[in-house]
Amino acid sequence: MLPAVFTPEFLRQLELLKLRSRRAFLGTRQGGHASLKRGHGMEFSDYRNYEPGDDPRHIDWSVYARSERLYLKLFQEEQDLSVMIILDSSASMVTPATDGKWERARDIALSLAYIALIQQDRVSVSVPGYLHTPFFSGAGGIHNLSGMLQKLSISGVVDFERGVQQAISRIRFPGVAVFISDFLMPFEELERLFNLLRAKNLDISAIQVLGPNDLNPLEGEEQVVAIDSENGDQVQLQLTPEVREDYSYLLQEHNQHLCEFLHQSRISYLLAHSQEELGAFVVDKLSTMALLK
Amino acid sequence: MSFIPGTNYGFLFPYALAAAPVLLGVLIFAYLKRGQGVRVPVATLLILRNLQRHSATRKKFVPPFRFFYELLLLTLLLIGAAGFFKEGEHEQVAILIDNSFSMAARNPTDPATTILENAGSQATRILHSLSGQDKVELFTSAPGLRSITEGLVDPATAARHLSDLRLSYTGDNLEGALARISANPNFKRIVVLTGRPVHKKLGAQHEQQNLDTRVDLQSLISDQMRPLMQNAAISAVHLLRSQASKAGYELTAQVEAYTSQPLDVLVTLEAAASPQNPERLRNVSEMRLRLQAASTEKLVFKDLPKGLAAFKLSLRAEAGATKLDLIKEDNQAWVTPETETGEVILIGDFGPQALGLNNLRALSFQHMRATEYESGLADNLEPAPQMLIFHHYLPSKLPTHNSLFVLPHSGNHTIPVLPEVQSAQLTRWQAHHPILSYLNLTPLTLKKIRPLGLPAWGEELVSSDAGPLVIAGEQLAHRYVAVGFEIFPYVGIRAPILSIFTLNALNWISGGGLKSGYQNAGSVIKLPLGTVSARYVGGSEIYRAPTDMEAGSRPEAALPVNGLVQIVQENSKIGLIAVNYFDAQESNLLAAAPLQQPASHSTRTEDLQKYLWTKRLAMVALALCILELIFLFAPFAGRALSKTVISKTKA
Repeated sequence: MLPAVFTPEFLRQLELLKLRSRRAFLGTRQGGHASLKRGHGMEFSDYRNYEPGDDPRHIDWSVYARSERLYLKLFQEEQDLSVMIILDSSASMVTPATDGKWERARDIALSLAYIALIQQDRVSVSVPGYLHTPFFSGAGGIHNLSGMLQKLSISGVVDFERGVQQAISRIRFPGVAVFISDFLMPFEELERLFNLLRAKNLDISAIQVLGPNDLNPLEGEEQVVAIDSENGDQVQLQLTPEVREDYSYLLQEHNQHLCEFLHQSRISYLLAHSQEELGAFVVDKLSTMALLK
Repeated sequence: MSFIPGTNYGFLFPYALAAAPVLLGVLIFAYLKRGQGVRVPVATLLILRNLQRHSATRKKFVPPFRFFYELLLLTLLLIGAAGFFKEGEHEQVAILIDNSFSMAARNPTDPATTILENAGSQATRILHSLSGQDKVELFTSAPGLRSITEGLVDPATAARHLSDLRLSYTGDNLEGALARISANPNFKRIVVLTGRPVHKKLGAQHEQQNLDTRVDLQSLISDQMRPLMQNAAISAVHLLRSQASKAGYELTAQVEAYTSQPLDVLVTLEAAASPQNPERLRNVSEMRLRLQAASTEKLVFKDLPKGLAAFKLSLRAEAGATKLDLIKEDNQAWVTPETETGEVILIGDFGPQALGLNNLRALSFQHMRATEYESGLADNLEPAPQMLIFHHYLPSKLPTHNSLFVLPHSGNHTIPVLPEVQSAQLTRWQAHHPILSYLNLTPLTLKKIRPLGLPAWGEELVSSDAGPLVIAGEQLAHRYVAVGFEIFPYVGIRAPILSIFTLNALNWISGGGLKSGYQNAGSVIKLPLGTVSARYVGGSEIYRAPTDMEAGSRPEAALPVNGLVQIVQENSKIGLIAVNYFDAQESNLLAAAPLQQPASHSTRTEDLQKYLWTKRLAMVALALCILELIFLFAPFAGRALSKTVISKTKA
């Protein structure tokens, strides 16, 4: 059962979208994406000399007429795409619960999965520390996927890096990887995570989900002891307007750093606010990424 | 109690101040804790931590105004709790001197002085050691607490008042007197001078047992001197009608030896021939005795002739043994024959023998039936009867003699009598009244009861749920007692409560007639009607009739010491009253009970009320509390942090 935000109208809008990759990958079966495999496709790719045993139906006779040499016409095959969606399962995604970051990340993942499954791609979702789904294919797989994700209860601390390693170790055919997180972690850690994905030769996209408390923390409070949801560290703060201004600046600086790294790594990036409407985000913003067309 | 050096201020509970550092620490901790603000879980501290790092003065404690306000409040409360007080300009000292009978003992190391005189000397030394600015109040403990100086005076004046120190022929009453003095927290020091041994608790024991540290117990008899405190005394003197011969008397007495070694004494019995000239005594009998250590020797002088006015029994230690008899005042006893008083008339159906009254040898009884009394027979008796006992009978009018009414029947209004009941529960009684002294009526079970109404002359002594059971009172110089239950037959020790009650009642009605011819020293007695004067033979006058004496009222006189009192009446009639004192506790110096250090006064709240500073501090603290509630009762803003230093990258 899909979450309530997946109305029939929204699903129809999703069906109009196409997942794309910036590179061609080898698929496992015939699909809708240009593959590295040369064969019986629709799109001409190249010529090569005929060799005994080749199918004579692919000999380009017009070239033979001009050059009296036998050339074989090669076509790019269209195959399915492996889509790996990695959802951040750290406690920061569910703190505070009212921000709805986890729910928004999950819904974005389901939206992408639905688009991919509709176009006969293979989709797997990994929630490090909690769940690594098999690769689903076919539109019916979305319900299984949705059920698994909705049953998850995220809390506590997980070894995120190890979880990501486990997720990518299951990839046999490189494809598209979508990493959905708040990316509020030390930059070195982020670099390591993205490099793990890059090492697998994946077409990576990063979607950052931030909640109201990430943008303007502890609104209404002035004197607080902030407790880290992941490691329990405590920090005493006086949240004066000046301090809040500093926070905004530091957050912006963090994100800017992230963007620069992602750009250099040819990883597409998009920022999502947990409180904005899902349909508007997927249809209007997500389609601006290289991920969708 | 502790004073701040160089000032008149002090603390009642100075140890409470030790809590100051703890309280200060708690307050600072509370502010540090409160200053941290609310604890809120956040997604991550990745960025927030950088904000804290930029705060340069995080570790400093910068208290807000409210901290100092609350510190002031806390300080006031602490000082108040420590019992802060302002002492008067001068130290107040109480000196309590034991002037009981035992203080008449001679000092064994200096026989020329008594222990009481030693107490006076010691008091003088204490007074001289005090500053002229100090204030002193001198007290004596016997017979009750009495201020000699009648208030606080300077030491020099107090020393002059020491000449007013008098021996009292009573017990010391030290514990009660000390309790009353120590209840006054203004006394910084209380010195007790006594001949009794004292038990002082020192050091930590004071604190453990919560003893009053102000009290300084000083015994005038050292532990080395205590075994030397030996004495001999005459006790239990009785002059009875001789059983063998109605014409004579029989005098019995006991000689007590409170000694640790045998003592040879000479016992002399003398007699005064006439009340007009009691100074002239003639020797009646004399005997030498060897008293064993800690023994009692019973003496009986038989066949003493009638017609003598008084007898004097005296004791004298043989030469060389005077140190074994340190109190001279208990070496003599006086007794007078009851020549002036008539018999007791018993009116009722039963005679004295049937009611067991023949067991009371101090009184002689005559039986009279109700009809005989109604005919006026009792009024014509000569001499007049000592008292009347009405048994199961109530005369139509109140008699003109001292009377005891036992279980009166109803029928006239002399004394209202309520309907008879089978049982009644005693609800209360006046234990201080002489009739009920030494009595615990709780176990008393009564069978036949006629509750009484309260006549105009009567005072309700014993009450029950059915009504008054014992009424006593005086009218026109006559004493009356009405008892609403049966007290006879008199069976002595076999019914102790009723027997003591009966003896008390008869003694009170007769004005001490059961004493076998003497009164107790230290008591107040009623003198006969028409008494002009009374004086101790060879001593001071104790009564002289005032010119405006109300007719019909009986004069009273206090009997402070032993001796023989000569009473002169209007019709030139002269009588004698013998006065004796004997108390084994006072005469037995070897077995004097030790005096314990008293406990600290329990009602400290009374103390606090006397120290106005404590009240003031409490009031100020309360006012500050209210102000804080009104003006500062706002969400705590916490301490101000220095402005966050923005990272250089922002610049």
